[in-house]
Amino acid sequence: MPIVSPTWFFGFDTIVYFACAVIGFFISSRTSKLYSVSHNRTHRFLFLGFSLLSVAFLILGLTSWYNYSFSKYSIFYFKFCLQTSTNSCTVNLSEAMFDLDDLGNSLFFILSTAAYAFFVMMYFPKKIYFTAFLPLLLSFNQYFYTISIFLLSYVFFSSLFNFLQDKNRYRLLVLLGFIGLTIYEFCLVFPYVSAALYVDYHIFLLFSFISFLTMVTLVQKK
Amino acid sequence: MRRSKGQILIDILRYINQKGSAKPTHILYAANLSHKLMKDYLGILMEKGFIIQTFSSDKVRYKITKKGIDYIIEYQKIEKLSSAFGLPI
Repeated sequence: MPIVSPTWFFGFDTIVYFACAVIGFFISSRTSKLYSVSHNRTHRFLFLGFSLLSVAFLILGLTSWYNYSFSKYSIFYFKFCLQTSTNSCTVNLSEAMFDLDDLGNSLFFILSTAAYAFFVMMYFPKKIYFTAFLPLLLSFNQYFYTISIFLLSYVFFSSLFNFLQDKNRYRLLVLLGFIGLTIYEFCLVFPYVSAALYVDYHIFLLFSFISFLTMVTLVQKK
Repeated sequence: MRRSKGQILIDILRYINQKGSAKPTHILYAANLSHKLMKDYLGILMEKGFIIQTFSSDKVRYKITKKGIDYIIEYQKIEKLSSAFGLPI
C-alpha cells in the first residue's frame, strides 16, 4: 500500500514514534506502581496495554529510522524525489520483498493490537482472556486495521462513559488520549489519500500521548 | 464491595493519621475488622515501618511515621491515576 507524505515531513514521523514510546514507557512505569499496590487484574491490563504500546512504537520508530537510513526508501531516494517532484513523494511499500521494514511493521501491528485488546479487557466486566489472542491471529491479515479500530472504539466509548459519570480533568485527558489514538488508527487505513492526512494523523498520535502524559503529570502533583 | 488488602491497610493508616494516635479498639471499629485480622494488618504496617507502637499509662497506642504519611500521599496519587481511567482500586 503506498504512503503519501509531504517532503518537509520526512523524519518527523520517526521523532513522533520515539516520543510516543518514551511517554508510553513513563506511563507504564506509573501503572506498574499502581498494579504493585493494588494487585488488581484491571490495573495489570492497563500496565500491559501501555507497556506493549510503548514497545510497539519503539519498534515502529526503529523501523522508520531504518527506512530513512538504510532501505531503498532511504533519504537518498527522497533527495532524488525532491529534485524530480514538486511537493510530495509516494513510497510504494508493496513493491518491496519481506525485509526488516516489513518485520518491524508487522511487529508493530501485532503488539499494538494486543495492547488495545488489553485495554478492552481492562474495561470489559468479564474475564475474556481469549480476546487478547484473537486479534493477534487476525492481525496477520490485511484487515487488522479494522480490528484495531473496533477494539479502540470500545475503549473510547468506555472512557467517554467514565467521563460522563464523573466530569473531571483527569478523565477528560484520558478520553482525549483515546480519541487521538482512535483517530490515528482510523487514518492508518487511508495513508494514500493525501500528504496532509499523513501529517494530521501523526499530530493526532502525538496529541494522544501528550494528553496521557499531562494526566499522569497532574496526578503526580501533590 | 469487598475491600482489597491494600485498601484495608490504607484505611487503617488514614484513621491513625487523622487521629494522631489511635487505640487498637478504635482502629478495630474504624476499619471494620475482626480482632485477629486487625492484629495481622497492624503487624504488616509495623513491619513496613508505617506505624509505631507506643505506650502511655500502660495502654497501647499506634502512631503514624513519616514513611506512613509518605505512603498515604503516594496512595492518593495512585487512586487518582486509577480513577482517571475509571478503574476501581
